[in-house]
Amino acid sequence: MKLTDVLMKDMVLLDEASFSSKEELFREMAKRFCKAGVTTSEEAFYHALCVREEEGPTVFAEYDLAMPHGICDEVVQPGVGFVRLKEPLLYQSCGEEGLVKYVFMLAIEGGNSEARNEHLQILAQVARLMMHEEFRQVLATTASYESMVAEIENFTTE
Amino acid sequence: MYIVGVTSCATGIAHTYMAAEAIQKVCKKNGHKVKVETQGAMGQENKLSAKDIAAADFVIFANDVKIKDSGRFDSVPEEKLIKLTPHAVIADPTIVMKEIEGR
Repeated sequence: MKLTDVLMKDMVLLDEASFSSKEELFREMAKRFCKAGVTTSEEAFYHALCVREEEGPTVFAEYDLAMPHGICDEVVQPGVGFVRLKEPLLYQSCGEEGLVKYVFMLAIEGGNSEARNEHLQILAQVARLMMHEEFRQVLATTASYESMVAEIENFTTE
Repeated sequence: MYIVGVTSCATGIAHTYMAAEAIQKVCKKNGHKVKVETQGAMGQENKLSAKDIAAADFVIFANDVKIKDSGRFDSVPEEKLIKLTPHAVIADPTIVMKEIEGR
């Protein structure tokens, strides 16, 4: 499974929105993840995102990035969302904070199934890609969902 | 040089893999051979063998939880061990090379 298989159009927002708080961002994205059929419950996924925030920081201030992720049984298919914020958001996460411009959000199935491992692999893939300046450049400049998918598919780390 | 590493973090998700990629990237960029084991939510991946560890010029630990199977590293001399946190490696991957050059 590749990142571009699970990055969904209705969950990618490029310069379309700004949010006044992390919670507001989570609410909006949870709604979109639910509408796209990634989770059967907007509320359960929102709650899972918030629970994860208490376990350890998901903000990477050096890269203007946050990677919140929710793990719960109500996630029924892997899904990745991406938001390039119109205005940077002060993102506080488990004692760390930073002004965030880019948000990758991931939905991961609960339990201990094969599906869960596949979802986790996607998260690992995104995490690794973020360490490449060229990849961050794609996120900063891409003009549309379609071009983002094409640019990610063309991207190699070698 | 041959540099090996192990990364792990409290929740075992993003930091483990970001730190692993950061170490790989900075080592390759500086012309070194590298292998990094991740101990994350998917268990141990890209596991370092006894041969890897014996051949390594340096062993990088980037962890904030205890490393599994740490007995493998008992015979590594202290001067070859570099202990960092995933956070430090992610924030500035060049810290790895600075630590090595400082030895």
